[in-house]
Amino acid sequence: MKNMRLGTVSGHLVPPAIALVIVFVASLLGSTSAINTWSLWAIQSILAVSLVLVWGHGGIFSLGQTALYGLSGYAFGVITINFQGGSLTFIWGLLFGMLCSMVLAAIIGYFMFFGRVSSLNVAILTLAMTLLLYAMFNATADPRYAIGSAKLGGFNGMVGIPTAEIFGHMFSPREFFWLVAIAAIAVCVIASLIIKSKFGRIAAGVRSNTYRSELLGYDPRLVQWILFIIGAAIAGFGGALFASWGNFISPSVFTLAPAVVVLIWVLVGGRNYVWAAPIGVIVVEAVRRYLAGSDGTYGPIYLGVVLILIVLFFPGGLAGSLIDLRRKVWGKSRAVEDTTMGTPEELEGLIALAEPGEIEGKHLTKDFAGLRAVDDVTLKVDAGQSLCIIGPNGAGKSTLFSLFDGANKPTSGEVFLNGKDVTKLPPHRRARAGLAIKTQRLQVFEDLSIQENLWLAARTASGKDRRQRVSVILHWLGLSKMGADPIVNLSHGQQQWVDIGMVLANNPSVVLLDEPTAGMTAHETKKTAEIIRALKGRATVIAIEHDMEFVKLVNTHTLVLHLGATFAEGNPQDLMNDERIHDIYLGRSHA
Amino acid sequence: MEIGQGLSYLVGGLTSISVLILLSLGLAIIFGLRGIINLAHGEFVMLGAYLTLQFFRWNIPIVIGILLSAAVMFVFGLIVERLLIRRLYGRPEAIMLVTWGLGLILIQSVTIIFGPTTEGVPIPFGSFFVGNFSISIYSLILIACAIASFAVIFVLLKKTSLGLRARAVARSEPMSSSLGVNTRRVDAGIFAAGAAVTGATGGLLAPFIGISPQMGGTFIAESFMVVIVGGANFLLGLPLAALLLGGVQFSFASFTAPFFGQLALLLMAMIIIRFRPNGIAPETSRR
Repeated sequence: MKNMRLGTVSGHLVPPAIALVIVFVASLLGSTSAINTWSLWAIQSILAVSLVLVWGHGGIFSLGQTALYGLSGYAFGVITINFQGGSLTFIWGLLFGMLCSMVLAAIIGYFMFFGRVSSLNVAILTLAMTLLLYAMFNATADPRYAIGSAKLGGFNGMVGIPTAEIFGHMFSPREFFWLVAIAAIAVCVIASLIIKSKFGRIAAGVRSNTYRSELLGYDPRLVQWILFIIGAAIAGFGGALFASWGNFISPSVFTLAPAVVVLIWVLVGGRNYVWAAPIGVIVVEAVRRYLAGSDGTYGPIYLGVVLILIVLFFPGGLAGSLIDLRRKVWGKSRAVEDTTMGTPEELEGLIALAEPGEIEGKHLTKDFAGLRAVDDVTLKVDAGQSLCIIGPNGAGKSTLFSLFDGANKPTSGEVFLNGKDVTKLPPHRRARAGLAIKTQRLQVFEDLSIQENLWLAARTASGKDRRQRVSVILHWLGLSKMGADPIVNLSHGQQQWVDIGMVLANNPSVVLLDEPTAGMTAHETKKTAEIIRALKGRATVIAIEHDMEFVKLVNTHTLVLHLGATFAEGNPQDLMNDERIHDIYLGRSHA
Repeated sequence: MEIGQGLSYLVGGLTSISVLILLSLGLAIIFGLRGIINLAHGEFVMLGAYLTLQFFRWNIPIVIGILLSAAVMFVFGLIVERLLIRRLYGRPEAIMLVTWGLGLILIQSVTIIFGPTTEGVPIPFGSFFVGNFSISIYSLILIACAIASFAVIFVLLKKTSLGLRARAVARSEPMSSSLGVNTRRVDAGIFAAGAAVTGATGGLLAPFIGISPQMGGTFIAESFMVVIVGGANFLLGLPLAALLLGGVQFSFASFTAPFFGQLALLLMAMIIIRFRPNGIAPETSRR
């Protein structure tokens, strides 16, 4: 479990300690003009960290970080110009700037995330937002666009933003460098803590597999929305400091070039690494200054070429690619051990499942543009009982399943979970009501480790119990030693097992399995059937299958679906002897 | 309101909607058919405008200059597709980044060649008066061009075998490939066609606007909004989105101030996206 805990305190102090030493030495050595430049780099690092958090960690491809940064700069200017000289004006300005960015992010984010806009559209909308802010602030040259004595100033921007001042003490350039450098280091530390926090891990799950995180009971819309707002707070913090640094802010922060530069910093540093963000800023900006020094006209061309080369040849970012390379050379991925999984009975002693619940569908009907996929199906599974649903391809099994898991809403009819009407609830709310789902396709968090997968699934437990539950299931899966390995190192069959382990870790009262044995060997199929038998009396199970052998092994009450409607019900033995069922499986017509 | 004023508002509104349609069409073709966003779109407009400017300086009539610009941009589109885009299909984020890098390079290259100053092409055809209000003939031509280019794209896509192949690749690349469609050529053709339309737009707008290396950045926000709000089925969605967004922006901008025009456009787009996340006209039934 070593990767799951917060780790040793000393390990987390290394990067900030190194950064502090560098800052200290730099502040002693630098000339005033160099110090000014480095202050800007520290501020830009804060902006870069906001993108690492939102994009690298949260998978939100935001091209709007500079919009949040710039807006906060304007807000900071409004406060500090109007309340110039106040002892805490600087702090209030910072807070107000951050607040404005967060409000803008909350509004835009509400529309994007709760509207379930695709990742590509998020990128375009945030970029368009940035450019529209440019057009808006550009159109404010008229003196009537002023808040108090702060004029927005159109194309020329807002000028006369006072230098940082706290309790009457004006910051010298060197002191200001200290301030922003320590602020940047603090932001890096906070971002690292957020990533390691419970929320951060859930956000990683949402990035990795939004659908699965929803099936486990998380609300991806809410998670992304909150993360976007946190990112806005960080970007806004940087933007306010930027306005203070330069004593002005202009619409040029909302243009395309600064927006792309943020991406380049993050790509050079590697978008998954918080501490790489300042490195990316320093490397890119140092080279850019060097080019500007010799012949400024080639600066943008350099940036464009760097961007293209990184995307074409180092998709994980420069630092990320280096780390991957190191992994390839030194840490060869472990060959998967022959896993010996525990028996279902073993699991029985280890995991305390929730009280079994009951699930019921009443007169469920689903039409797709004139095609009736599910036709008036009524079924009820009592607490602790199990039900198999079988039928040939096209019988409407998966559609029926989707009505239970919430991916589709029925045209008519209701779904009851533990006596509660859940017909209109989205998947994550059903999961919270005790439903656990294994879909037909393998659904795991591909870029996370095995134990992180299970940790995300063990939503109902917290703290130590949660880690305990993860290690129990890990042990039962026979994967104790490999918990920290990426799940993609496992074979397809083993990943299916982890998927089932996740269902159990979710502590469900009702389990829905859609073709749980798809792609499994005969041996694995047998084992799955055993698990379902072992769950009898402890959890309520509905399994959908087209494999008659499996149904025979599970040996429970079985419903045959044909043309979307219930065709027959009974125990598998009787059904196997029913000539009509052979007919529908073989496609023979029947009366 | 006298008739001349009403008419000039109407022409003004229709012109800005037409400009929006023209500016978005090239972007929408590539987005709708291949699901990719060309972030150098604004720079393609800019290149079209500079090409037209250059042809104008060589005393080539403007109409021919625009067509030549479109042809040059078609070839340019083929080259860009071959060098950058082709290796990145299926990774739309990477394509955005690469084309953005391309945009930076184009802006700076044009600055080095033509200088950073704003240039212009005189508006041809003059204007006429209704009452006290002048109406530019070129505005009417722009409106006609928007309708005509839209009609041409519509017919090309829906009525020709070329268009059928393009739509087939858009729907399922492997399936088209297995039916003997040369999908690589279709991909390249789609991108180049988008570039050509965009280049022609740059040429058409050249007399209307200041031509500068940075001009691309000023249009693309609206184009992106129109394309996203319109959805992948752009033959239906694009004109609707342009009408809605362009109409809202023009009304707010002309009755209050440009500031509020932009704000209204942003809010309108966000509200539509909240309720139709895949646009007004999403792709018809892909799953």
